[in-house]
Amino acid sequence: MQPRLSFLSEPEIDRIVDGAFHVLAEIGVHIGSPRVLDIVASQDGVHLDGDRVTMNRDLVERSLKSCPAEVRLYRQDREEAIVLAGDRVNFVAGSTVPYVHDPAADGLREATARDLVNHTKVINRCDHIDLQSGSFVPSDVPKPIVSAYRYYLAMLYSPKPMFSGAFGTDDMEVIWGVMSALAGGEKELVARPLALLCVNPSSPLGLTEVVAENTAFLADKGFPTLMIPIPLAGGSSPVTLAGTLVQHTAENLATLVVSQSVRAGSPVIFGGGPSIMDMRKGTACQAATEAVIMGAGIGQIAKRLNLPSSTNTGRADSKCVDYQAGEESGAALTTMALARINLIRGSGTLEYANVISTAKMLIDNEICGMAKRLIEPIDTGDEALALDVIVERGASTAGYLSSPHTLKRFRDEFFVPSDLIDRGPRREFEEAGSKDAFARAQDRVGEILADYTPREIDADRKAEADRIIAAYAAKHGMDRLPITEIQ
Amino acid sequence: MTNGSGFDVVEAVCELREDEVLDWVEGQLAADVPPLEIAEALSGGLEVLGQRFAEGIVFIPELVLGGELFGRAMELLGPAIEASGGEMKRLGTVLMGTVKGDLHDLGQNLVSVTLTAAGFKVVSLGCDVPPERFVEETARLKPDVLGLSALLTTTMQAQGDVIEALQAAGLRNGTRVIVGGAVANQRWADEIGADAYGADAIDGLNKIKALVGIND
Ligand code: B12
Repeated sequence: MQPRLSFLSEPEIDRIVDGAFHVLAEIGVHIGSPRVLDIVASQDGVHLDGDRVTMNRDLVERSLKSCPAEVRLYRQDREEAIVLAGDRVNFVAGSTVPYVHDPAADGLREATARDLVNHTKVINRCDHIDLQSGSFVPSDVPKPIVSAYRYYLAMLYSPKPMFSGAFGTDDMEVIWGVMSALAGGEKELVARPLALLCVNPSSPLGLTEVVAENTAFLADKGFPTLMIPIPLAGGSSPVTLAGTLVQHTAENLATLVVSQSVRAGSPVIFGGGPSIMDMRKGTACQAATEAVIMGAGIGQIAKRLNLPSSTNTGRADSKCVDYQAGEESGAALTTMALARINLIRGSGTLEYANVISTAKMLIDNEICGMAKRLIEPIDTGDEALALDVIVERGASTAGYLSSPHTLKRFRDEFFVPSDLIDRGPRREFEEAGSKDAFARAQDRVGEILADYTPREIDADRKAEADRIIAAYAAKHGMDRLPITEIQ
Repeated sequence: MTNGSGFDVVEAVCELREDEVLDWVEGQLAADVPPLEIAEALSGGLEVLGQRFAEGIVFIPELVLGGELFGRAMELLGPAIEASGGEMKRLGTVLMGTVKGDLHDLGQNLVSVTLTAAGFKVVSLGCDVPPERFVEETARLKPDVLGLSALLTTTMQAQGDVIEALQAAGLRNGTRVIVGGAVANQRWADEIGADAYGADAIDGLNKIKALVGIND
């Protein structure tokens, strides 16, 4: 049996999906781009009221039918694909934060390009993290270029598929250029996407100009689009979980109608980060228990709609790498894996995705490894059931340690965490300085950075990416970017 | 304040017993209690509500509803105050909005309701507000304080643009500017020449009180 977690029965999923159809037909969405509005308006089943668009169920169902059920992403250095579909579980490093957690600087510092590069080097060594991300928004380059420069640096430093989003429409073009350069051409990029981009519908029910334009841009290229509405229950959506899921589903469906109106068959991912507004502090908590419940709901709704899924759930709200942070990311990442979310975001983050800790990234990597183990079925085949072995050893004094069965199976049967997870004897713990997991992870970050070997990259492709990013930086008044070499 | 009938208007405001509060206001007016005195009592209720919010006893939706209840009670009082030639004293007027290109509007919204509940008159322009609009509304409303929210690295510069536009329009001296949002900080506020930085709604309220010269 595949371990899988459900919070909603089939009729309950129906009620949410039907609710979303109702909302789209009754009040629809605002579309902030006249150009995209025109494209959508040319579809049957659309009614325009100023810049609000209502959509009938037929149109939405037609659009759903043309969406592929799976998305494939590729590493720059491997043939095989990372598949987002069905019950597959993949983890993506948390992204796009302005601050780096730095215990030496009172816990917080504005991030720089160097922080991004260091974090990316560490992500390379996180075996259970499938996708990298533009972790930090660097403060040491002109503000308009931050988003494209992140794609450039991250994709130079790690071959893992990149996930993040454009901030506007300008940078979208530049990001597209950088990705195409590194893929060896636009056709190659579309055939084997090395990265994924998101669009963020604005709750409630708003597809702003940037969202509409970028959705259309990606659809036109036939490139995967991850939709991430972030309704905050009680703030930008109904206070109830079901109501928030209805609105969240409607926001995803409306975006998908835009995408399919531009080009039927363009891949989309049903994603998002529904959470709650903390009613005492007014913060956009990302790790609330309710966010975890709704995250699992997204998995079930996406499956009903036959779309790949993603959630933000995995982010922590704690300000430091403490027990709270571990509880938050641990519970969320594990639950999302059990809910079979195809792309789980958030590892490494603190303070509702305003801060990233590179040391926490390493600990979260261990959690992701454990979560992947957790969702493997229990093998009850003959060999695993081990009747012969029990009969042979169960009444003897030899025990099982020397059994060939143990030798054959132990590496696969057990998940072996790294030394960050302390299972050793007290003597070793004390000899190593009695350090807790956070201190061990900080040490490990230092070791990884000290022992980094630059990766090989096609010189022509890099030269083209260099040219594009340098031209963009020059346009915004920067002659020399802080980092352009892999070292 | 407890009047002759033993009605505790402060508690009634805090418990959001709207019908009772409005009935009480009408009763007081009918009994010829000076309208400004009635308003004073209502403000007292709002103040206690705000204190309880800061203490974590009252939650945000209650704070918001308290502000609305107060507004409706003041509507009842408005004509009487005007007729008496008086003017309701407010802590000040605050114009608020999220800057151009930025769609994060919950933060400015929360700051707005917190200020309203504390007795400020607040006009919120919502999100994605171009500098020209801030200038126009500043010229029209003459707010004591202009609050600018930005949550993105790529939009924070627009906070500086608004300050420059105010300067160019000759409106900078009459209006204090406070900035806030996930990417803003004191260093940034200094860099763009804002008068204050508010880290969150409560900090914003305190800084704005200081800007308009209220010490408590
Ligand atoms: C919800 C959310 C969204 C929603 C917003 C919907 C809406 N209706 O508002 C959506 C999904 C649309 C969205 C979109 C995007 N977002 Co967003 N979003 C968030 C999130 C998770 C929460 C923001 C929020 O509502 N907080 C709750 C409110 C109450 O808090 P607050 O805004 O911080 O306000 C408080 C204080 O800051 C202060 N304050 C705020 N303003 C003011 C003003 C004054 C005068 C004062 C005194 C105080 C003050 O007081 C408030 C109350 O205490 C943040 C994460 C975060 N930690 O902030 C990311 C975040 C801000 N977003 C981010 C990004 C990158 C984006 C996108 C570019 C996504 C992308 N494509 O990559 C788009 C851009 C859209 C646009 N052009 O604006 C980044 C910003 C990084 C950066 N350095 O620029 C963040 C930090 C998350 C992340 N790591 O990716 N987002």
